[in-house]
Amino acid sequence: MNTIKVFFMAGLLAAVVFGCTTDFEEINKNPNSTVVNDIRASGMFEPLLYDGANAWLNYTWFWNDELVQFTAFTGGVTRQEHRYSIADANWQSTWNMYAGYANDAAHMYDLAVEQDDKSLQAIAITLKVLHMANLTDMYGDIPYAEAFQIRTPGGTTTPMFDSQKQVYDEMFADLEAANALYATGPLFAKPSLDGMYGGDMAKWRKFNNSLYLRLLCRVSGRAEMGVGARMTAMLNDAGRYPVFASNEDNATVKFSGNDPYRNRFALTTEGEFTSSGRKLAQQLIKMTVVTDVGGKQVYEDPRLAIIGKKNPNNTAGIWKGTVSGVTLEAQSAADAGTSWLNTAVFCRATAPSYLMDYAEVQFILAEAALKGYIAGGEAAAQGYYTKAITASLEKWGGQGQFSATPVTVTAENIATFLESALASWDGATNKEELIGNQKYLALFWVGMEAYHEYRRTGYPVLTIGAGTLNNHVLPTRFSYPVTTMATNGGHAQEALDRMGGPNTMTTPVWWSKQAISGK
Amino acid sequence: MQLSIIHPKKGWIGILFVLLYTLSNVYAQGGSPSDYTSISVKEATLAEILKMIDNQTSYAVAYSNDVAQLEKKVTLTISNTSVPEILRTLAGLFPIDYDVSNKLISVKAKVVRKEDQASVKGRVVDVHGEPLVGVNIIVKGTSIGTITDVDGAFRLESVPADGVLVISFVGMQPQEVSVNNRTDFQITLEEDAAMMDEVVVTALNLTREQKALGYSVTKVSGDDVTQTVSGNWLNNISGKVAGLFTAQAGSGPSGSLRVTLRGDHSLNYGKNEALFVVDGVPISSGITATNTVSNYAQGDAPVDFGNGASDINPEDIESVSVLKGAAAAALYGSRAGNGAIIITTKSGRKNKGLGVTVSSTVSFEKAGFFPDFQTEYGNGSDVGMREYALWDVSANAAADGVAVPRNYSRYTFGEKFDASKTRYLYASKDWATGKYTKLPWTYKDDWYSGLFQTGVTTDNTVTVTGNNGAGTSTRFSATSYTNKWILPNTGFDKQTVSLAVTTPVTDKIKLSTKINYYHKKSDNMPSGGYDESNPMYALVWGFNVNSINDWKNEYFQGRYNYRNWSAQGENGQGLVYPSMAGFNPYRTLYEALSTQDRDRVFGNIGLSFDLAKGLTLDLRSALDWYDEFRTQRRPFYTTDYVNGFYREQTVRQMENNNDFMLRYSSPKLADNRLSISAMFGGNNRVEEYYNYKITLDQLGEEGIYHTKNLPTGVIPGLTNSRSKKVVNSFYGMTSLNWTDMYYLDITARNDWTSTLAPGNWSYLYLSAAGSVLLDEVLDLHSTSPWVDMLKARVSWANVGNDTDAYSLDQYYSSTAYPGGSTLPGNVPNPLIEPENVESWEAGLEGKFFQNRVALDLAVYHSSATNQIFNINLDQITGATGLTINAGEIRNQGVEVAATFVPVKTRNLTWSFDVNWSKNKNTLVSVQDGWDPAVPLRTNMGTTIGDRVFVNSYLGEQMHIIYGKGFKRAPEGATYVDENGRTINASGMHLVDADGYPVLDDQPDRRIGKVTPDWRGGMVQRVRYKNLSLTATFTAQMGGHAYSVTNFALSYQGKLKNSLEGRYDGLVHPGVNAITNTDGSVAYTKNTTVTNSIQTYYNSMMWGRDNAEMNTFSTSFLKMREVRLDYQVPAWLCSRAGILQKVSVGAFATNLFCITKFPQFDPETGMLNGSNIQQGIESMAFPMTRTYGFNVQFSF
Repeated sequence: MNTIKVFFMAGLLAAVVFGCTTDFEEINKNPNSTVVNDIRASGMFEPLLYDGANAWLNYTWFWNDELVQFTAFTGGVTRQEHRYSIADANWQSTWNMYAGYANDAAHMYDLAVEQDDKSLQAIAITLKVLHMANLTDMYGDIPYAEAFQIRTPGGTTTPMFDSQKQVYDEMFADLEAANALYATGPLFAKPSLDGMYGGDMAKWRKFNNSLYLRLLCRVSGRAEMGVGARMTAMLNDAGRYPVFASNEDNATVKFSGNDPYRNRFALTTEGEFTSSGRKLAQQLIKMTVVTDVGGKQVYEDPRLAIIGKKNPNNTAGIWKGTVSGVTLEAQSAADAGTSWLNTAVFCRATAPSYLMDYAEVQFILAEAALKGYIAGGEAAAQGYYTKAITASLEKWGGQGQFSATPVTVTAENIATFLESALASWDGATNKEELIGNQKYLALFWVGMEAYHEYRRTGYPVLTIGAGTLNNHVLPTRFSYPVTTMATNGGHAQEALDRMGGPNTMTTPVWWSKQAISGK
Repeated sequence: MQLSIIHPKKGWIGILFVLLYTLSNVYAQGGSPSDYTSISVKEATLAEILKMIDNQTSYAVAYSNDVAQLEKKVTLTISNTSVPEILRTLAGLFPIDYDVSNKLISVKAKVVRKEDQASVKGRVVDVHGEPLVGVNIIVKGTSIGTITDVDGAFRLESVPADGVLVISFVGMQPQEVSVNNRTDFQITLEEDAAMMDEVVVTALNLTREQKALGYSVTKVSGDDVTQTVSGNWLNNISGKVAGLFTAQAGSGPSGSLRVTLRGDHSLNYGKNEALFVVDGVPISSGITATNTVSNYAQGDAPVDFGNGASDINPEDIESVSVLKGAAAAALYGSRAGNGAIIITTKSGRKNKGLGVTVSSTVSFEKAGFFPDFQTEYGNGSDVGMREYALWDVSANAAADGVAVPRNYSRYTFGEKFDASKTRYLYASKDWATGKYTKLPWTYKDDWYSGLFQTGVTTDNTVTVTGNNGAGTSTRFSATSYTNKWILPNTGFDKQTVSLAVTTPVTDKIKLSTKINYYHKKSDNMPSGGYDESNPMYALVWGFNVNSINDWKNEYFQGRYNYRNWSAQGENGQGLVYPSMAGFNPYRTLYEALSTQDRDRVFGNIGLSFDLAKGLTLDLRSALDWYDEFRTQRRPFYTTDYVNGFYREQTVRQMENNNDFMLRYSSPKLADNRLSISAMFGGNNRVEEYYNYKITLDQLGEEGIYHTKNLPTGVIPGLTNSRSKKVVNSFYGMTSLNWTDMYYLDITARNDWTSTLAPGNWSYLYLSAAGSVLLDEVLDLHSTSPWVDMLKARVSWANVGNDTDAYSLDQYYSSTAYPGGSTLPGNVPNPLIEPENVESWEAGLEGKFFQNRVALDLAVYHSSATNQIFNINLDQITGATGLTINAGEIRNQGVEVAATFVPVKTRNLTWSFDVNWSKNKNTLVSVQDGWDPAVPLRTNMGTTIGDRVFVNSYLGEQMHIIYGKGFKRAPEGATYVDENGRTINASGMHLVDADGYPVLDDQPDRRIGKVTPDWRGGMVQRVRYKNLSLTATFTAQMGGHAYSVTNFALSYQGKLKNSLEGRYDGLVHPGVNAITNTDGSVAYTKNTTVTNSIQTYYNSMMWGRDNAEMNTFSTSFLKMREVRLDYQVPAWLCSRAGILQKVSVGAFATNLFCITKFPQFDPETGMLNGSNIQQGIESMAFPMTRTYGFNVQFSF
């Protein structure tokens, strides 16, 4: 036994094996993932576009339709959004969803600036504003100027909340900046990535400016925003501010149907999607079906058979809507035989997602003309209105082929509809309401827009169910989520003080009819 | 030479002999003393007389050791006699032979003639009849001796008929037994009451005397973990160790357990489990998730494939040491902050020979503790207003010619049962003719429980131990375990093989190795959770008007098919549950399969060098490697997976540890009062992990399960991840022992980890532990003789902790889009520092009344600070989390363990152990600026669809259940009763105008705390001769859990708790609130009868939103286990030939459980990804009772 040899061995082992840290940094390099900033800006684009579009679809189905009474989940008590049973987790996920996509867009912008890719800089701004606008519309005041600084050295983790007015001003400035970038005629490097416009930057520019119009319209009740002048300036300089000119320009994300380019409802069954839960609501049926004095359904909106499906168990074979916010006792009766969403149309891998339509632009202009924000008066308003209705019916007509019983919408159908009791301009005593109601229908399946517009205009006039919570108030906003209050409570409280109410779903947002009128 | 007669162990006597021989020769040649001499002695021994001869004559005398030990004394007077003559005289007086040659006299003990000696044999056992191995047996006054073998048996040749056997064994009272011509002995040794030198295995496999330890170690013997068969042996230590807490989720045959010691320390819920160490080497013990989702309403709910620690074969376990505090485990470094479970496996036999033991167990498992079903009302959701009919029966299909429209429900608010009524049930349809016949409207007893079968588990082990007598010992064992579980087509098999070899390489080098191979295979592990993929879901949402056979027939007769499932205008008319969200529990069990095939090898090989006196060097390399392949299937027409589902997952994990350890024990210093031992070592640990997953959430062709069966345009989900981590360490320990009364251990360890940045990757931590034997110091043995031992101890430790690999940089989240990325939710901090757990422990240990009472008290305090955790951020900042060092969790607790032996006689012993522990963990701080009014959802943020939360608030005990409860009248509210008296209404339920209680608007009411106030256990043992009875009880008090099973069954009206008031209503006790015009609120006593009793139960009382009603106390008292063992007497065995030992036993588990927790097991939780989370039961499988038998024989 050679003791020295053993000690030598042990010493060598100790030195070589146990004390060594030389390759530690190499060992700790992640072989599975890419380090942030090590990608092309285009690497952010597809998830931002497609996942964002799918998130919109989910929100329109889950939140928008239930809040503004397109549908109501009366097939049980597991979901009660139509009763405004909305809790912190919902506020949190909604906040995180919009802020998350806006954050990715802001990061794509930073990468695009670094890589001098003007097309993606512009697109990044447009998409960021799209999501940030929803965030402020859902919550009121939000951080904008100081948002998304965590990856910036010295960036704040407790950003200031900007007033909603400031947020809108900042968004307008951003959209102007994006418009200026589009104006330089940048090329989209990989057009095949773009499932919305195939890299057509002119169409992106129209989307940018149409979005601008949407946001101007949203704050049009606030005189200090000078919406009329700004809209007029845009219309007068259509070369500089091109907007949607037809359904061809619609901001519609098309899914190829191949993984992962699939509509999120591709595999959803009829039971999950509608028949065991979310049924069409009375409000929707009331606004799309003409019933005679004998109670017989004599005419219906041509879009209804595309977005809806009669319940095969309804022995009368009629459209029936369930009661939003129904009481628990009355729920079972209200639910029986009620019509469904049309699974065949919506639950397809290739079913598109709508971010904004030409029809909406025309409705905005119709309202603006009617209210005198832009020139033309009521006659012009009717013109815009007719175009809007036509565009919406044509858009849905394109989806009619997917219904189990294919539906076509002809020009004649459209003409009939424009003459019908449902949509007749001349027959309407309150044109503003007509525009509001028809815009509401046209905004079906377009994100949260119908909910935002309801709070702005009060149209359509909804009946609040007796079984609703939130003091029987249709939520005026979502409350700031718990993380926001816990980590940035001081700034959030300043915002609430500014908004003039507690952190509840009854405090109105700045642009809303309730905030402006004080009622 | 006559050296050969000298015992080889007494080498120094041989040397002496040679010296004497040489010297005496020199002397003999130098002079000529007379050959004659005189001797006169009184009471002299032979040795003394021989010395005189040597001194007085020219003869030299040599004698062997046994001669020197002859105790006989004689009085003798011999005058001037020749030396040979004297020798003749002496040979007459003493049993000696002698030889005279060349003036050298050699004397040796007389060779005993055959008639005076005998071969004797026997067996040594303890008071429990268990054989004692390695007991020393020597014949008094001789060098004849041996030790007992593995069966306690011994055999001695040439034992004098009048000899005395001295039997001694460490920890036992020595015994002397006279031979008296007997040849067969059964010797029972009793424990030495004053015996304190108990040894335990501590960190790094160091064996230490318990009295020298300054921290708490609880030892569990191997028998305690093997005697009762369970899917997971960890069940068998639950309740036996104070401070050890197990959590389970009732999640299937593998029954994963989460083991924590002294509470949760980390804000990262998954990082609180105890470290498992086998033979000195840490092994991976946790759960590898199939998917990181919770167990509520998830089609891809987690399947419990078992946790890593359960892979250890209990049959191979020699003992388990539980090192509860950080001080005990500090030498394990980073991972020891949560304490450690040290498992020592069995080794080969100590003495020459071969032993074979066969052990067989069979057990039968039955589901029990079923819910309290109501049997009065059948299915329906219209309070029995309309006739129930599962089918739309047209007039020409009806046997009676009367058409009946469909009216069915899974709710059970239907018509009252009445055998004279007939209704269209599922079984009404004649599938051959398409005709329908009405059947009696009765309750079917098997609608729920009929699915369960008797589970059968067999466990057979063969162990071979051997020793070649030249220092090489081996042990080999092979186990085969099969389990058919309580649900059809579920269960698993496992086989383990283990080998332990110790062999000398040279006389100074010893090689030892232990290698275990484990194989587990399952054709189907059931899916858990509140989801259609769990067969329990089908039961809970089943029909009490249908026999389970309806489902059985539907499946086995091929009626769960596309035609019967799909809408076709009838909304899935043809199924037992006629819905596109339909399911069938048999189909789930036979087609929604989750398979597992796991191979694992763990073990170590080591060399031990005896360098110098007191100095040894150990080198060891250890490996823990496993490879697991899993598949999961869902057939077509399954909820969430209309087009089927298939997943393959491969998990490979490797941990390699290389250690060296240099140990030195000093001789006694400072007048034998001080001894020092020191150890210095190093460790190099490499961990590698691979997890490859391919998921198809739709399939091309029905019924084909492989990864290529994809529909066009669909790409499978791929998850690949691998990681590597290296930690290098040096560690050392010094132990001081002053006069065997004062002990002090000091340890230090420095880790260098690859997971932290340079500058932070090296960290040092220290521990100190001291103990004082008060009985010695205060001399209690003389003043209070009833005190056998009394020790006070105190320890302190500071343990650092690193983080996971790749935690420093920001990485994009990958997406399914080619090259597509999104920003990660969390922003890491590259300068993160190691975590720190600092803990104190003080304890008192005593043994009293001749070991009849033993007591161990411990109090502790630990504080985990500088935690590496992801604080919550507002997404608007750009991330939802930020990794920082912050937060503090404090744990404080008390542990008591005691053993009592009230009766102890030769034939009857009654003893019992009790243990009790209480731990309180407090969230002291989180990130700076966190609003304390806002709860922190730690990683244990379990929710039930955002209805029920397990939250923690700053400054409070952690893990509280929050949710909606009843709205109550405020403090000070009053109402005026019918007699005009003013009654205090504070806290009474508010009742609305329809007679319903009103629930909170937001789920923010504090409902109850999850963690119990205390837990206790008791083991009762009674032994009468060869028969012993053992019963184990466990209890806990003060915990709560929300029960999904309860809300699901109750709100459907399936339990007795919804019978009151059917259907005439009831008056809910409470008050109505009336708001006056001035805004004030007045209260009146509620007298309104509920508008609808169905709505009352379904929506208000038992709905899933009502966390208050569906949360129950998890306090319980369980008889966890009772067993009866019989050891067949040795004489009976020997008659049977080669058998040496036979024992038989019978056991039962969970004979009773007293608890208010309504649905199954109060020890409940939910499997969430790779964590078992407590506080919410999510459709657990039923608690079972097991009855088993085992037999063990050795030859």
